[in-house]
Amino acid sequence: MDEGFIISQSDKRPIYLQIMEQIKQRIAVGDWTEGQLIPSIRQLAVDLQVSVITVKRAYLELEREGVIVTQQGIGSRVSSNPGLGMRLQEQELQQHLEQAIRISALLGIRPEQLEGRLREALDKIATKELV
Amino acid sequence: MTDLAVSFRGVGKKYRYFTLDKIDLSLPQGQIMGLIGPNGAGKSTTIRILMGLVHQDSGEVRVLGRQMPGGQVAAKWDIGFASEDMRLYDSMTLDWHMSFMRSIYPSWDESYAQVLLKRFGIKREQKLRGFSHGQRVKSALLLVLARRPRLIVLDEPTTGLDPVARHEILRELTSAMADESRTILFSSHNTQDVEQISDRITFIDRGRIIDSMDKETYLDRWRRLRLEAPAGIQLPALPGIIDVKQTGRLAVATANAFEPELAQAYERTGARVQQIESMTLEEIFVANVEHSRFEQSTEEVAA
Amino acid sequence: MNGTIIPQLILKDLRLNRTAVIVPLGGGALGIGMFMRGGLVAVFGIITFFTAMILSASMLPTQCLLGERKHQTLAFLMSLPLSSIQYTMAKMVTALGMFLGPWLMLVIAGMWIILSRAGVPHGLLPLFLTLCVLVLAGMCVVTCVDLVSESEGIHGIAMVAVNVSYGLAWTLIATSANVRAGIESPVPVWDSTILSVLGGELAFIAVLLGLTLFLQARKKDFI
Repeated sequence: MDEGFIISQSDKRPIYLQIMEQIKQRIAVGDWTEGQLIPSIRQLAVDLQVSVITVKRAYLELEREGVIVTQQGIGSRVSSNPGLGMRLQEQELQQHLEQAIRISALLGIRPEQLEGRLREALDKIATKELV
Repeated sequence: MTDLAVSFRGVGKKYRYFTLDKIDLSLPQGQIMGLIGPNGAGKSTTIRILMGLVHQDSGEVRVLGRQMPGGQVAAKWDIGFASEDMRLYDSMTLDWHMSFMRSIYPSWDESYAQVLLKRFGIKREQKLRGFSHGQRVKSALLLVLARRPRLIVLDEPTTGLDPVARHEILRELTSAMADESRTILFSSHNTQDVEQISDRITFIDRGRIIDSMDKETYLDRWRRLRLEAPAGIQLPALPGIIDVKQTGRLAVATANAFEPELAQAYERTGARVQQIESMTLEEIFVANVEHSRFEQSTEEVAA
Repeated sequence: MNGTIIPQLILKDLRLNRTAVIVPLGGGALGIGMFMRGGLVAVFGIITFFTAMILSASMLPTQCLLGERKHQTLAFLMSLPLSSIQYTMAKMVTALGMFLGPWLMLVIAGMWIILSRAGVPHGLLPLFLTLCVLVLAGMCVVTCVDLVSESEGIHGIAMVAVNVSYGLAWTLIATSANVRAGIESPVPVWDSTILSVLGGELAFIAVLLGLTLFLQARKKDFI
């Protein structure tokens, strides 16, 4: 069962994050639907040729975010409201952006400068990971 | 708590020019452990003690529930072993080797062996003498995998192989783990392989275990902090930091016990945290060995 | 389950070391053929005969025993479910067996010639047997030294020692008055010198094999 996941070695982010992102993408575009059974941790580990512990971590994080649900003995499935977890993160992102705008206003940083700083940070992420 | 496939407690072995010192190691069933360390660190010796080929001077070794070296005969029925310095019989064909194994091990799975022949691209009618290094390694691995042993022990399984062969081997090793009762222990120089497929990582240098823990936790503990120090200040190595390299106002601090509070602690000293980077296992390897050797030498000076 | 390994190992060695069996048989047969011609050729025949036997006593351990370490196949064998004792016993049986087969054939052929050929005094028989068992003893020495030491260097030293002792033994036997008298006799004469030498050789072999098993069991670093 090849789900078409590809782990990029040049992507500096940890593998578990890449796995999480690809699972969320599949849900977002509708390839994986609500309630659908997804590959078991072990099966995905075999398909991706990565350690079980890494896939386990990805699944645990996804479960924490409410994107998937794991039942002992049955397996994992897309949760009934996977978007909820992602929408919460959306809200978080929005809050962060608004906060950045507020703080830079306090510091006297102009919007164009803020844009520039954002671009710089984006460039840094492209080459290294910002934790 | 799962059964331990491999357990070392206080294992020691003394050679003339090398000592293996108080080795503790635990590998639960169903996991893959990657053993890494510089050349001469003791990886091969540890593996040989595990196989009962070398008797330890002190300490207890249990493999698949059996004491080693006393229980080695019983244990070896369930262990598949291949090492980089091991050779098969050059004047015989791969087919002869397969028949040899098939006649000894009742667990030999001939259909799986056929699949492996195809995947590895090796011919059973050919004599081992005519095989390239990569083909020999794959042959040895085929002889191990087709038996479906409970424990697979490999000493440098991908050393000296081209990327395609490496990929083939990693794929078969991870496939073997689809069976959750299977355990793998392998030593390797290739930190990328170890980082990718290991559940646990054990670091060994100069006969001592420096670190042994699950991979994700381990990778999370190591960070590189890029700092900008206030003028004229040499930044200290705070707790959790093993090394600070500073030239002028720019410093790089290497942490082996990273927590977010560490970044804040540096900011309290007046430094600006420009960036916090995760480290590849290779970078961790070098930093860890340097640090461990520095610590050892200061220990020796103090003693 | 354990019953298949040792037979498989023996079969493997028989397969791999075929030349070490063919050489003594070929050389010994040649020697016998030369002996049958009589005269000076017969003397060379005797030399050829014993040379073939001695050569096999050296070739077999080298190929069969040292070969495993030299060709790095020892780790492969020891990853199989067997102990160092079982390995040692399998190797002993193989090496000695592969030597004894041709050896027995040569001894019997030699005995037949002595007993049936006209003009050959039967008194030669005890001496012949003693010499053959001497080579067997030498073979055991080299085998056991190789098993315990696994060293080509020590194998070489053992070979030299064994060859020197062949010479010494021969001198001892040849200068014994009893033996010289016995040779000429038309009937085999089993006097005390011959018997004690033969008995000594056999006892020596038994002790050697036992000692080897003991030492192998105590080895702490098998690889």
